[in-house]
This record gives sequence, C-alpha cells and structure tokens, in this order.
Amino acid sequence: MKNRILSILLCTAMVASLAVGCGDKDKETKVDEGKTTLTFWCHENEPWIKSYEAMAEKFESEHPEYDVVVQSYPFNVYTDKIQTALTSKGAECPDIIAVWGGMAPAYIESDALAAVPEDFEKELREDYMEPTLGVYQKDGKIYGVPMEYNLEYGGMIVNKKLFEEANIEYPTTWEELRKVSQEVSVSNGDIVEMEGFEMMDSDSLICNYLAMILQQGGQYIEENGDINFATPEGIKALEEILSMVDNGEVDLENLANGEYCFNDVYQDKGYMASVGTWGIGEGSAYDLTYGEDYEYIPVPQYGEKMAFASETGWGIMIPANGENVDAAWEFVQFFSQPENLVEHNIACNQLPPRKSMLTNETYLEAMSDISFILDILPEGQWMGPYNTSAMRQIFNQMFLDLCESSDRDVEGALKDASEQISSECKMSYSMN
Amino acid sequence: MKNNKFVAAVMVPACIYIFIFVIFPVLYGLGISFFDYNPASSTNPFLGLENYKRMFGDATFWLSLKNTVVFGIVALILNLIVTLFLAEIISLLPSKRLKTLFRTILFIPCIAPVVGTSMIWKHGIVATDGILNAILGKFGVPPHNWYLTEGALFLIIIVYTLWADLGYNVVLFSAGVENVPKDFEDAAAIDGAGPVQRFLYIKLPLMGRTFAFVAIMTMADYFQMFTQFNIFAPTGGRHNSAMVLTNYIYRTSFSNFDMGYASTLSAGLFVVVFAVAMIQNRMMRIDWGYE
Repeated sequence: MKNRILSILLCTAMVASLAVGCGDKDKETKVDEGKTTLTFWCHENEPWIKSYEAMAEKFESEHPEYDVVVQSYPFNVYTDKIQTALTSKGAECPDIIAVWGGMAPAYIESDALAAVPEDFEKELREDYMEPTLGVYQKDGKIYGVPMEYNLEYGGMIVNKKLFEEANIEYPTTWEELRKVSQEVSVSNGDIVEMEGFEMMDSDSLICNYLAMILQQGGQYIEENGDINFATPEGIKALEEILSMVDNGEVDLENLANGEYCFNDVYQDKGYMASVGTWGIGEGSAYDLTYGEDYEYIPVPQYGEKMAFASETGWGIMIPANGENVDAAWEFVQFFSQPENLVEHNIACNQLPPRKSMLTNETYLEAMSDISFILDILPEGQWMGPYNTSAMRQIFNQMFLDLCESSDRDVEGALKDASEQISSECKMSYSMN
Repeated sequence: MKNNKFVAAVMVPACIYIFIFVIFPVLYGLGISFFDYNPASSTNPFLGLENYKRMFGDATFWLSLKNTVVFGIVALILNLIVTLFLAEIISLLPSKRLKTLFRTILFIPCIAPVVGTSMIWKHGIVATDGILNAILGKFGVPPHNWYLTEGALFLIIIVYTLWADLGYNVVLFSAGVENVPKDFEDAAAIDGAGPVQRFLYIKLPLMGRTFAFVAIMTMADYFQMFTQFNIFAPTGGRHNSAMVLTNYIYRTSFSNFDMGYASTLSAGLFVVVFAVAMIQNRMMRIDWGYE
C-alpha cells in the first residue's frame, strides 16, 4: 500500500511538472498596469547593453505607455535564438531584434520580417550611407534599420607603451608601416612572439585586402556581380600581405583559431592591429587606459586613392510575427533620430550611419580620437550582395593554403576563390 | 491484473514525456528532411529525396562521417584501456579513503562544464604561448601553431575528451572490479596466474556486463560529441580535418540556415549510431553470471 501511495505521488509530481511547462501566461506579463511591453533582443556586450537600456529608459520617459525590456544573449548562440524566435508567434516572438548585418540575409530571405514603413524608408534612403543599407534591402524594400556604419578598415590599435620603450614613432605611410613591422617583430619558428602590424584575423584580412585593391584603382566586383580577385591589383595586394607572413612580421594563429589580432596588442604581444573602432572599447577588459596604454590611429593608405569596402553592420529588425509591430517601429524611429542615435554610437564606439551625423558636434567632441575615420567614410563602397561570413571563410582558407604552400600560384588561388565565392555566397534575392 | 493496470497507469506520464521530448522530435526531424526547410519562411517546398541524394554526393558529409567514426573508435579504445587500468590500480589501493580520493580527483573534470574546460585548453594549453608549447620547448621542440595542423589538432581533441571523460567510466569500472568475487582471483592465484593474467582472464570476463554497458554508452556518447569540436575547430579545422557530423549539422543548420539538409544529416548520424550500437550489442552479448 505504501508503495502504491508513493507511486501515485511520484506520478502526480511528473504530471504537474509537465503541466507547468504548458499554458500561456505571457498575456499577463505583456500588459502590465495598462502599459505595452516591448522586448528588445541583443547580444552580450556590456557597453552596448547599457546603451540599449539607456535608450529604452529615454523612450519610456517620452512614451509612458510603453515598457521596453532589453534581453541579451551570448553572441555564439544569438543567431540560433533569432532563428528559432522568428518562427514563434505572438507573445513568444521578440518585438525588436538587434542584428549583425552578416546574419541578416538569412532572415531577410524568409518572409519573417516587417518592412520599414514608407515614410521612414524615404528618410533611410536620403540620409543613410549606401554601405549601411546594403544587405537590409530586398526587392526594393528595406527590412532593417542600420545602427552604425560598420568599418573594419581604416584604423589600428597601437600599443603606446611598446612604441615608447622602443623609441619608435607611429608610422604614417605604408612603407614606414612595413619598416616598423619588420623591425619590431620577433619570430620563433612558425610562431611570432612579438607581432608587428597585424591584420590576420577573420575581419581584418579581407577588409584590408579589398581596400588595397580599391586604392590601386582596381575593382573586385565585375559588371555581372561576380567576384574577381585575380586582377593585377588583386594579385599585387595579396602578394604584399603574403610577404608579411613570409618575413615573420605576423603569424596565422588568430586566423586559424578564430580570435582577433587586437588581443595581442592589448596583451603586449603585438605593436599594431587593424580593427574597427569597436575594438577600442575592448581595451577596458584588460584594465588598460586609452591614451596611456594604447591609442587608435589611422592605418596608412596602401594606394594612391583612399577607398575601401564595407559590409553592412549592426541594425534593428522587426519580426512580422511580433505582437506590437507598430509600437516597435515607433521605438526604432525614436532610436534612429540623430540626437538619440549619436548617444548610442558614442557609447558603443561605433561610426554613425547617417550623412547628417558626420558633422554632429556632440559626436565629434566625444569621439575626437576617431574623427579621422569620419573623413574617409564617404569613400566606402558596399562589400557586395554576398553572404560575407561565407565569403570570409573561403578567402581565409585560400590564404592559409597559400601561406603553407611551397609552390604558390597566387593568381590561380585567387581565381578559384573568386569562382567559389561567386557560386556559393551570392545572395538569393535581389536588392532592387 | 490489477497490479499490471496500476503499473501501466503510473508509467503514462513518463511515456508522454518521452514521446513529446524524444520520439516526436526525431519523427519531426525526419519529416523536415524531405523539405527545403527554413522555419522562418511561410513556404517550405517539398523536395522528396533530393536532400538525401545531396547527402550521398556531399564530400564534406563523408569526411565528417569518417572523422566521427575514427574519433569514436580511437577515443573509445583509449578510454576503455585507460579507465580499466585506473580502476584496477585504484582497487589495489590499501584504504577505502584513498580509493575515494582518487576517484573524486578523476571525476572532477566530468562535472566541470565542457565549454569552460575546452576554452581553458584552447587558450591556456594549446595556444602558441600555451603550456603544450612550453613543455615541448623544454625538449628543444620549437613552438607550433596547433590550429594549423590536421592530425595533431584532432589528436589534441581526443586527449582533451579523454581527460574530460575518464572519471565517469573509472567509477563504473571500479564498481565492476569490486563486484567480482575474490574467490575466483584467489583460486587463479593458487594456480599460479600472475596479476595481469588474473585481470585479463578472470576479472575482465566476469565484468562483461559492466564492460558492455560502458562501451556501448561511451561509443554512443562519442559519436555525438560536439562542444569541444565547436570550440577547438569551429569551422572544422584545416581542410575539415576536425569536422565531425555533429559540428557539420550545427553549421548547416545555424550558419547556412539550411535546416532541411541539416535534418537529413541528422538522420544519417542516427542511422550510423544505431548501426554501431546494434553491432556492439551483438558482439558483447553476455550470458554468464558468477554462478
């Protein structure tokens, strides 16, 4: 009898635990004291989360009928979360999602996103710089609102202490850059124990390479939209980069293990590392002080004419299945107003996506150290209608193979990579 | 009869749970493998067997399958050898406290999160300025970038997996070793059998059930290893040398957003694991007990 009673109790407990997972209590949490709750999803990055929360508070103070809840997730699972969230309906679906441009095509390909309202779209087309809108466009409509101008070229973190100890000035020309890089680097077999100028990571390598092609007056996107790196400019640029590895100025550790070069500079294992302005904030994780331990300076131009390619950066998207689509657009438009967006860009060390913000005094005063980047923004072109993550992978694997090859065929390797990228990475939908 | 009805009734919640969280997802996954499936799309065209045809012609699938099988077999064999050896050594220790101490020490990596420990190995041990290169440096070997290697990185992942996993099987084998009646060993000793012979010909056969259980569970587990491969070689390593099926399924699903094809690959993995488990089960059929 005792066993029976125990069995019944256990059985009841199991049924109860099953039942707890069911049911819909979201309606109760969504409408609280007459307010509409908007959920804003983002990835884990401390300064960015703080900025989103500050924006949410500001929006709530001007729109007391709304309550904006910011929810963050680790970046390496963030894509998965968005993918599954877009299949949810109603209360289970977030209202607003911060998305990295490289991930955006996968969501835009589906019909899970709400298009930007017409009046707002006009504003985007007039005031946002072309590379920022890039992937967010499909069939003439826009499905994402850029929060930044993503640029992985143009500036580099330098270890000020190392430069001072070595009594070396920061390089201002490409020749000086290579000279300093060769002087300071220390190699031990395959490994470079003190790196010179680093651009060998998954972001910097291709962005610097494309800039080097464009600055020679070349072009890597053909008229039919295919990629072609095997031009004289493309070959020359790649041979220049290969020489950095051959001379022992840098090694391939970061490219092989998926880490960023700037970490070496912050750990006193490198002098210079090419990175976007977002890398400046990462120094605080090492308890370093900008201006004392490290600085951000221009990467010397390789060619005669300033030019570079930029992929679409972080933006905001609204799932079509969300419960509060109109309210979500209200928040996004508020976020995108120059006087609000500038605060976010400053807090996150981002570049502004709007032409009207290039002369914004608040931004220039707060970000005086990176104002040199604003001067070059108008010279950028969009990287192209490609899945840039997949493009990078193919390019980086090709580069690693070339580095390890004793019998190099640079032109052949570039041709093969170009063909592979053109066939596998082109977006399946049209921008126009 | 009344008792049977009662037993059936109390098993209903567990059966519902298993159906919802185990059987249904397997069947659903099998179903979407016949579609060009993107959960965010409202249309998911039916492809029939196209995904399966694609799988059979996919070089990366065959390479991942080969890597998965090699990893499963090599890691399993090494795991069984090392854990049996450790279990036997621990059983020879004089005091119970010492035995518990060593089992605890070996078990600690099992309870540490795999993500955390594999990150520590990646950045602290396997990195170019990590402990591995430092140790090799003492023997005059120049430092190496292990992430550019093919076989070596794969071996490092196997070694890590063994380190993270030994404790569990040591505990199981320890229980198996200690359950073997001492009489048989004593009789063998009297007949002149040495310690190795006693272990191989007396203890090991009598631990058959434990051995079979450990081998099958470990093999099934190793065929589904994912975390450490995703940490050490997120893109599969050089020329996909460290790409296993689970990582390939993950990348297909969440990097390429091709969930239909990923489900097809999952079906392939299921068939492989099932086949291996059936073969093992048959090979390790144990009928005898101690009587």
